[in-house]
Amino acid sequence: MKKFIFKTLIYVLFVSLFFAWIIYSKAGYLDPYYVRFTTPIQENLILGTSRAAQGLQPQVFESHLKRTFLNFSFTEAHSPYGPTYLESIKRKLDPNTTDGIFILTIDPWSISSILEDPNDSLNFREVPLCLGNTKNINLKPNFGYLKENFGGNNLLTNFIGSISPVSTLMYLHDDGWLEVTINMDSRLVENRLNRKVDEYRNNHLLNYKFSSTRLKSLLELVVFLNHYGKVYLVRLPVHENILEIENELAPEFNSLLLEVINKSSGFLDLTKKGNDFQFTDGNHLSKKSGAEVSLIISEWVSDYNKK
Amino acid sequence: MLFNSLDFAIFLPVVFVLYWFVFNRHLRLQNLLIVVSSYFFYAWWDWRFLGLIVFSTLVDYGVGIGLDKENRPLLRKSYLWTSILVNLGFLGFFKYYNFFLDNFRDVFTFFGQEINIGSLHIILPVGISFYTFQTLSYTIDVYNKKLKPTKDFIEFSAYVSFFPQLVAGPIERANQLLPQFKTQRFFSYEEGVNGLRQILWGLFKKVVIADNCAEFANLIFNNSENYSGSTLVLGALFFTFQIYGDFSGYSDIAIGTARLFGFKLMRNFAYPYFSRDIAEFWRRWHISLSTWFRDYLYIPLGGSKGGMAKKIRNTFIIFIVSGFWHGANWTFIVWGALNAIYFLPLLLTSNNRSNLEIIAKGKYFPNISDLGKMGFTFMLTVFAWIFFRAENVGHAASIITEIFSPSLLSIPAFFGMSKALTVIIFTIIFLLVEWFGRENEFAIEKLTNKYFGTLKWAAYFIIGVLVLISSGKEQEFIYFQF
Repeated sequence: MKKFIFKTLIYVLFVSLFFAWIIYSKAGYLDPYYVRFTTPIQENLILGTSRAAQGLQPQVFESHLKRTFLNFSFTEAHSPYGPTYLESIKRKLDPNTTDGIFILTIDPWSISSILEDPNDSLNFREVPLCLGNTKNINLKPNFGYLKENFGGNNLLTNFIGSISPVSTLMYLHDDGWLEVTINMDSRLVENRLNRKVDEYRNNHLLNYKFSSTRLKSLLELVVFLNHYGKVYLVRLPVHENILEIENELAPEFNSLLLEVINKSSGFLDLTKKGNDFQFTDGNHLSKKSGAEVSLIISEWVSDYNKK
Repeated sequence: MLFNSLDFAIFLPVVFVLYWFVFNRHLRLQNLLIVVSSYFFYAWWDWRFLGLIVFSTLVDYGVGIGLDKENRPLLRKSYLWTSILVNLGFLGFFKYYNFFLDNFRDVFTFFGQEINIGSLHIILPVGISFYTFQTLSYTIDVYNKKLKPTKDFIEFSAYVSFFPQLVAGPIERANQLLPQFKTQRFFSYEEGVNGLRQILWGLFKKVVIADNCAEFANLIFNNSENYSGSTLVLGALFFTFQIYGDFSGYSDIAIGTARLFGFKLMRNFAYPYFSRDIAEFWRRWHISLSTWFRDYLYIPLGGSKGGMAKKIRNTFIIFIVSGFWHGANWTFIVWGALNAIYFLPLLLTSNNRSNLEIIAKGKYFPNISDLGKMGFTFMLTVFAWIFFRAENVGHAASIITEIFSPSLLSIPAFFGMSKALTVIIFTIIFLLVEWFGRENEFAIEKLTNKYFGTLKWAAYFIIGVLVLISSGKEQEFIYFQF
């Protein structure tokens, strides 16, 4: 029995240590959200869905605004505006912040819901996901996140990707930027755009409904963040075909958000500049364009801050 | 509690230590520990349904005692029927009530009569189909005087609720498992190591193979209308390995866990995808259920004795009931019937027992004839799984229609195809390991005899790491819903 227990313990120890090393050193490759749950509380945040997660690069903001940022954006499923995201942001924010900068990216999807009753906040789809089920979001390692959410079924393929010599698809940086390396061959980009347009037109547009509860939460978030610094609203550029669908969902989007815009320090609408940038799939900025857009926003914020 | 969870990783060593170091001197205390741990294990999922197991245990224990004392045939029969009605009553209510109600309503609607009976919101208690069949086998065996009933309630409770196999089998027979609770268990190093090895392999099947295949099987089946015939075939293949990895993985973990406590459970899977005909497949797939139906349904019905009509009737009954056991949906019934159709030609030509040994025994590779038979049987199985996985019969029909269209010749394509490639490579490696280990009870059982120590440990290490990496969010076992 002693031999059995000893050998078992040695085995478990080695496997666990190796696994711990993988999580420690390769987390950014393995899981597209985990790293954001391991940073300490923050003073400056970039918020929104996957458009912001992939598009806005904190290091660009840092170099212009001379302060560190965390990109605390997730996806349309995880982080649309609503009570769940609001609570998480409250927990991520350093309560001693006095002059923070908060970049909130907004679009019609992030204030809509796929539920029959779009205001049924108890059943919003983000509730059972990582922001809803992880109470402590500033821990490293974050066992709560690891237990409830880590990896999912893509972990194995992501791990193989992380140790393979060919470039990997996704890497989540420590500052929360989700770097996506993808073939930007024009034919492939067009295929992805067509797929995305098809998905948005035939799925999203039919199922999403404007949610006044989400809008109220966004307003509450802006009011809350105003106590800690300045809030800037940004509507990121998208491909014109995607924008067309978006405008069908919320034709009066900007006027719908008037109260929110009025409570913020400024609003930058980049949707009309869609043709100036490259997108991986029409919805997400490419790495290069993401850096350009980050620079535009930084400069705009910098100018606004000077006023 | 799921086997592939952190909770179980803590629970198992705690019970192990208590079992071998604290309660090891008293057999009854050890059995009591098993009962308490098993109830705790079950209650971790939902304590409210624990009452069902306790009630079922009390009824069958009482029926066993009653049958032992009673010699009058009519009263003995009434005891037996009490057990059958209570057990199948629970099963029928929780699992089939809404199915029958919906179909009843549909039939009336079809004939122009609207009836207003609402479906009930019923949660299916995990494992009910398994422990119900296990306790039924006990009362039927006692009724048939094949088994002496136990008078020890703790022993009987442990038999009904034994946690390694409580929620998804193997469905143990009382004459196999119950005597093991009566005798002192001793820890054997070899059995312990073998148990851990089997648990490791089971976890690999579940979290590395099944859960990863599930992602793509779900993607393709849930959006089947968007995919070509070739992609749908790929989806069916993903599901084929998902269900095998999921269920046989569970069985391996269950059998391995039981070994750690000195118990021997029956084998539940014996490399079914290497079968050369459907009869062989059913001797190798979910063996504890197939043999249960054979012993308690097929043989009492007359089995393969009698005329052709009777053989056909019995074959259809056993396969359809087996399908229905899996779930209250017509898809399972069609799946069962389809397997009966596959099986009948073999039975009627007396070829249903022509492949009793494992394929290519003692050789590395099969001959061309066996390879062809194996491939054909595999295709039949994959085809049948489409019904098993589909939402309803119409969904299965639409998938099959698309498969048998010119789009079958197109190159499979779906979102995440490149990631699926990793899973396909792992599945091929898994199949190779299973192939070369097919003469053992589980594929890596004899790893220790074939290779030198370092290589063996390297293999365990890689499997362990892959299991941890693939664990991620705990995924339920498919058979929990049955």
